Amino acid sequence: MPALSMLTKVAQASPPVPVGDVHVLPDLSWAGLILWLPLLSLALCGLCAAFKCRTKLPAWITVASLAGSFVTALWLYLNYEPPGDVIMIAQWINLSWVGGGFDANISFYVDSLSLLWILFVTGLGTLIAFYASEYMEPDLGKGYCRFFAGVSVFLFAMSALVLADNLLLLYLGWEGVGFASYWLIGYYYTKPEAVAAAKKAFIVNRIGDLGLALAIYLCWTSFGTVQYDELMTAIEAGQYQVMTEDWFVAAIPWLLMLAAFGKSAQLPLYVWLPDAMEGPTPVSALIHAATMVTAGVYLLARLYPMFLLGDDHLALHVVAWVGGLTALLAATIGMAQYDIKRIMAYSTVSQLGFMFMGIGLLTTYGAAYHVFTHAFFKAVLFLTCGAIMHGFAGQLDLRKLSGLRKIKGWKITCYAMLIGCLCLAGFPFTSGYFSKDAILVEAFVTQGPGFEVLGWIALFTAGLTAYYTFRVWFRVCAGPVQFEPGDDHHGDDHGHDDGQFQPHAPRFAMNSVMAIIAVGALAAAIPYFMDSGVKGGWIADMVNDSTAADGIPAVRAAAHTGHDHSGHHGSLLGMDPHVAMYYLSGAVGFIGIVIAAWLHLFRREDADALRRALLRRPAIAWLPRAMEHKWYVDEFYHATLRAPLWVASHVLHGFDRIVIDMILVGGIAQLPRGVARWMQPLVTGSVQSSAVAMAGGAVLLIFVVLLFMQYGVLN
Amino acid sequence: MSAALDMLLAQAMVEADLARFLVLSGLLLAVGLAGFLTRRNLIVMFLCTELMFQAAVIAFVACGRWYWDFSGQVFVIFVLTIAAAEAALALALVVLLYRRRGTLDAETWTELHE
Amino acid sequence: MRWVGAVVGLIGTAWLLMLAGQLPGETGAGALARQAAFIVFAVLSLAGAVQMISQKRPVYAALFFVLVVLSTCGLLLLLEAWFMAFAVVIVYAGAILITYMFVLMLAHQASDADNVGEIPAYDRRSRDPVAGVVVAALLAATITTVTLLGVSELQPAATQHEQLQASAELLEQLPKRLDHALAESDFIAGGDVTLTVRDDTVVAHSGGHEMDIADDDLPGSTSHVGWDLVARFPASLEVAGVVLLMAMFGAVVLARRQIELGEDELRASAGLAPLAPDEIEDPDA
Repeated sequence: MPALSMLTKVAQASPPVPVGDVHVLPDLSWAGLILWLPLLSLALCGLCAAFKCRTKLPAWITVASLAGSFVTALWLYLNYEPPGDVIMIAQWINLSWVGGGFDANISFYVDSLSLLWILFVTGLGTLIAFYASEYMEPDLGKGYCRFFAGVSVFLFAMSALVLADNLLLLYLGWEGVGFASYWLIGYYYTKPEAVAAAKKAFIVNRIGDLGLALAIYLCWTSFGTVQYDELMTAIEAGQYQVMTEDWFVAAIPWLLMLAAFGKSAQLPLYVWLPDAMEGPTPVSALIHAATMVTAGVYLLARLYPMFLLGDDHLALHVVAWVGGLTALLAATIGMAQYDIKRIMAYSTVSQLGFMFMGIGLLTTYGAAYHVFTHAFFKAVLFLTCGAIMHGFAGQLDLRKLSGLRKIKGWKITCYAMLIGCLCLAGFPFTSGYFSKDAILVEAFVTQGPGFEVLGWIALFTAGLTAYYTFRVWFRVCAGPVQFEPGDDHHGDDHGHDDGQFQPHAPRFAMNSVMAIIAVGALAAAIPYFMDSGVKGGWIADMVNDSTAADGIPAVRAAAHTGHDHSGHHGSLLGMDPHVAMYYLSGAVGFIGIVIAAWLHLFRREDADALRRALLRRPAIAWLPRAMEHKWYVDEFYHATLRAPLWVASHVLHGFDRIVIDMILVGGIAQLPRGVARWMQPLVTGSVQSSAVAMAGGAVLLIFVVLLFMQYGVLN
Repeated sequence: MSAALDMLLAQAMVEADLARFLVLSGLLLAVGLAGFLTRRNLIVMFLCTELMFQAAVIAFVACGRWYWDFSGQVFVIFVLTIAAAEAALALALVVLLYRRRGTLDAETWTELHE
Repeated sequence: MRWVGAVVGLIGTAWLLMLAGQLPGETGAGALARQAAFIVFAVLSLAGAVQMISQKRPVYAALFFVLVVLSTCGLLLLLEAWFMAFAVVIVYAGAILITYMFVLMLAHQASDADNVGEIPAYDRRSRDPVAGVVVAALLAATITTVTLLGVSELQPAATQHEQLQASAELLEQLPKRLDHALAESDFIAGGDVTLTVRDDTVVAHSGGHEMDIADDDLPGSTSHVGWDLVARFPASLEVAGVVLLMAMFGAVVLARRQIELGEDELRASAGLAPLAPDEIEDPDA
């Protein structure tokens, strides 16, 4: 501890170089460990693979390095002072030319927003890596090393994304997480569905990446810089040069939106996330629930001031509506699926919709808080699903599992899942309750096009969420004990004596992690009550101190006058919106849970009967059918995008093969051959024929020269 | 005879004369070439080259007379020298070739083709 | 009858030449005679050439070549190249053609042992006469065109004055001949003698005295040729001699009997030991 304080004293003693509002303190380069440790673990895992290591060593290496990253992040947090630091880690690109320059270094922009993110990213990363050390046991050997190398790459890229000081490093991280996601989704590369899912994820993400790349270019063109500190200063002072077109600056939010929708699986780019469940469950938990998919939210939060440029916040309104509609759509699909991991995936999409709604409703605090809580409870939900999959040889169909709570060794799993479900459903006084509240309230408070309707839609979706979440829990963990094994028999049988299947209960690593994260999910409610000037506790503190809150009128007003102004306009059902929302969301959640209990715990046959009845009436049969088929979105994409592209590619392939290869290249190759064959009779080998040719050629030459001379060309 | 020589001496040549000699030389050359390209007997082929030498001789001396530069005739001496040397060696080679194939036919030597 | 015709032809040719030489001037009988002589010799040479290339029997071809050579000699005489004319006859007809005859006889005798008098196929039919003749005709056309078009653009011919000038310059280089030319008169050489050309004669000056030099004493074309050969192109002369030497060596080497040496003799001549029997690889093993 004295060493730490000494270090901080040293750090503070060096004279800061003011760049706008931010100090640059080079001595905190220890922070670079957050990036270098995962890279180191990647290298070591690679070495393990090269040396054909068959133990759990790669897991321990990864867990240790991620723990180191977490500790470093914690240390950064403890030394944090608002408004934030820029820590230079390494030089990267520094160009300058007459009249301008471009600087993008590997440096960290450490303010509260990035600290918030990096804490839960590294924390959850460590825990899930520990979980995976047991989960991935059947793949011990090369696959094991490969998995942990992928996790290390992911953490490196995610840290770079979150801590980046400039858009270029952010883009590096963005692409890096996309790559890691692709690598890890396609982990079981012998399964064609996994390979297809990996490709789908990468390609759909790419569409978003295009948006981000263009946004970065436009940023540079308009503002002359890609570094956050300079960017924020320029925006605040209103000094941005419009180099060529006025609409460049206006286009940036839309492009950022595209990028965020791609990465965070919103309409219409969400189709990759459910398929990404083909990857191993720790991957789904870490990447597709807690961290990578929140990168889109982070991007919008970080560059929030861009969205607030100008008077009409049209981009933000679009974000809010897209978020809300995605939430509704995903919830309806989730209600009709049978694969529990898929249901969780759709619930992730739905909750991400909530977060984007929050961003659009001018509450970055709400969105960030929901990210924080969602990370915990979604992670725990996925981890428990993973435990079930691991123990029941890949069985994920909720019609084939029941009453697991009563099986020996599955208690922790089921109760952890219960905690997760409660948070997800927004049961009163869980963390999910408070965070969802923060978002839903704003729908009735913030002025905007149809936001009240949006609020009611969101409330309805919250009810659906509660329903389908508890559908899963009541079916799988409650009720009579019944199970069927799935199809993955990983090598040796888990006790297949006399043909009776015995489930493989999770052991220490998995159990401990699930327990810790479940406790964390509950504890995530605490920051709400932590003391601070602004309503919302510690999280609000963190968010409002960062660039994520610049420009929000309510927050600005609060910063100026010192007390909080939020929530005095708008009313809900005649009451103050916050109070009303407490009761409303609690009631909605409760109703959802009750319906789920009725249909899936007490009267399961009624659920099947209801479904059959719905399907029989043609008037409304389309609804359940569409829900079960995911609203045919994938089929739509296939018809409009993939099929035409496939046809075009075949046409072009034919063109390439026939016109270019056969006719042009082949034809041109035939030309010398033809000429040679035509001239072959000249070569008879007899001396005189050669002499004739020589003499003839010479005479011809003289003739030609003569002609030239005669007609005065040469003379 | 010396009187005749005196008369002939110191008389300039006329253009038409030079043209005549050069055209004749060209024709002889062409005939020699035709013979070289046509005949199959190795020895007769070389004989035709000698004919081409004759054409050259005429051309040299005619042009030398035109300019009254006797290096034309000097060159003719060298032409004779080379012709003799070439004839000797060519015939020796022809004899060797004849010994190999037993015939003087140029068509038997066609190994320079595919 | 033939002999009479040959004699008459020879006498006629000689008379023609004399006439051409006797009659002076460019116009009139002299020129006419010269033109007639040219036509005769030209026709003879071309006719002989054509016959030469189309004869079935190679010996006849050689004989027609002799005719060509003799025509060439006549043409050279018309060009006042006395030495050249006879040199050509001596070297070509005398030496080269004799060699050709020898080889012809040698080759034909050996091949025609069993069927004497039959002309072999390669002498009867030519390979591809059309191509060869076409090329040759093109060549003839080209040369003729070039000559006739370009001859008018040549530098003018050497005038009589220039010819005499050249002769005078040569005479200056030949002291003995000059003395001989001057000795016949009572010209007292008072020092160095210089020669100039004045009005168709060469005049010798020396210390104030002058003397005309007779045309007979002027060096003729042969002297000119000799002088050029030795004084202007001595190196070429030497090289020509070397070439002849090399040709002689080459002929001797080529004409030796070629013996196929066996492997052992080859190795012995190279200084290596002959192969032991077990080192010889058996191709069937």
